[in-house]
Amino acid sequence: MIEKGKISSSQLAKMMYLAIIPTAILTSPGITYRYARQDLWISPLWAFTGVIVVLVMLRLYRLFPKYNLVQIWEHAVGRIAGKTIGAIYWIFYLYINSVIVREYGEFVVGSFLLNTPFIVLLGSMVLVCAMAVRGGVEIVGRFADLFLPAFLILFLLIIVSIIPDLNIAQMLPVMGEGVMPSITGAFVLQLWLSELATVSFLLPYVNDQHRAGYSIWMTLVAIIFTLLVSNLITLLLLGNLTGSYTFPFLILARYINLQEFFTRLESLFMAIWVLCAFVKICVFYYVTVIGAAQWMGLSDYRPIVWPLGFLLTVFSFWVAPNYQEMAHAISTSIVFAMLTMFLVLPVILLCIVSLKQRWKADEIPK
Amino acid sequence: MEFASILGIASILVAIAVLEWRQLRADQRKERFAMIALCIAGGILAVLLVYNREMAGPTQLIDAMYKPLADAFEQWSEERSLQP
Repeated sequence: MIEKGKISSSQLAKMMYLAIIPTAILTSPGITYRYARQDLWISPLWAFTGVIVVLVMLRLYRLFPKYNLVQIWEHAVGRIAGKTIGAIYWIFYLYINSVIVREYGEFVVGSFLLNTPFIVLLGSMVLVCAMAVRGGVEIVGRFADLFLPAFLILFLLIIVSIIPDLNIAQMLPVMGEGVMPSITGAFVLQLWLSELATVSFLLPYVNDQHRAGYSIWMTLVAIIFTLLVSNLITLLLLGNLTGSYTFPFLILARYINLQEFFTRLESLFMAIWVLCAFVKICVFYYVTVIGAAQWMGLSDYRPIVWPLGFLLTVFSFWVAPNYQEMAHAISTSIVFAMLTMFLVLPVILLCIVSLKQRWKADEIPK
Repeated sequence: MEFASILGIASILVAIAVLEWRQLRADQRKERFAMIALCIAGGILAVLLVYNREMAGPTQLIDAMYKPLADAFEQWSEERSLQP
């Protein structure tokens, strides 16, 4: 194996949690509100994709504990087809990561550092992430360990201090038009839940394997619960205005005003968000690097970390000319692309692998 | 302006290539080749982007691939959101 480091199952859970939550918390209330209206807090509960992805990944993990998704593909469909799919996977991860980096840049430039050029923000973020990724999976895992408590404390601080301003009447009527609006709203959320498939690239490095399944299920539950809380709080505070903001949760942090003393807490939100985005970019960056190194058959992944970082920065300029186009793509075609890569393809893979095993098992008794 | 950008890109790439090259052992030829190839790919893409910022990219490819599905979903969700 290229990577010699080991992570614990709790580190795996923390990495996956932080690899999904930051962008989900930031943009999902606004996008979900368009379709679900006052039912947007129910949408995270329709996490079909998350459940299927976790089931498939754990099943594949039980069959091939030492292999990641791309290696299983290569094992199942042969070398040439496997290499093609492997190339698609790492380039797709590079693309998704560039979308994340761009989102980070748009958020920070649009809300806080108005006069800073993009290249400085994106370049410095990728620089820091490249240093972490070069250290290996253990380092990324420890960053997740380090930042999760900070994230939870500051997140709870924001939630608790906004409670006096909430208006419970904003969520009425609950399911006024039946369950369909909330299910439609859940469609875009599947994008973040399907990202759980990334776990397949980290599972081979877990050292306490018997607890891995439990921690991934807990991650899924934690993600659903966090999204439910953040969507609900955003709705109760902003009501009908939720859909008109790009980053509703930021407005919420900006709204906090305790005794005229604690104000302008959006800088706090920015701080936790940048910490989480760092872990998120690191996890996707790491998967890109590992995927590319395996695809090229290298003995070590570290030489290609910096060149891929440069490519990542360039890609993040390339993905879209402006934020509006990217946001539109995120809520339509990128959802379909991610569902294909992270849901449909792994399900097909599981079918191939199970069928192969069935045939082989049939052969053995004869 | 463009000249300065290209100079910056070139200096970053040369720095990456030289620093990584020195860390690799002589027998790691594949790694050296992969590293240089990725640097060249990044450099070409960056220079193209300097001259044409609006160059069609991967997002357009994905948009084109999933256009029927995305259009169907948009139409469906718009019908839904028109209801009072």
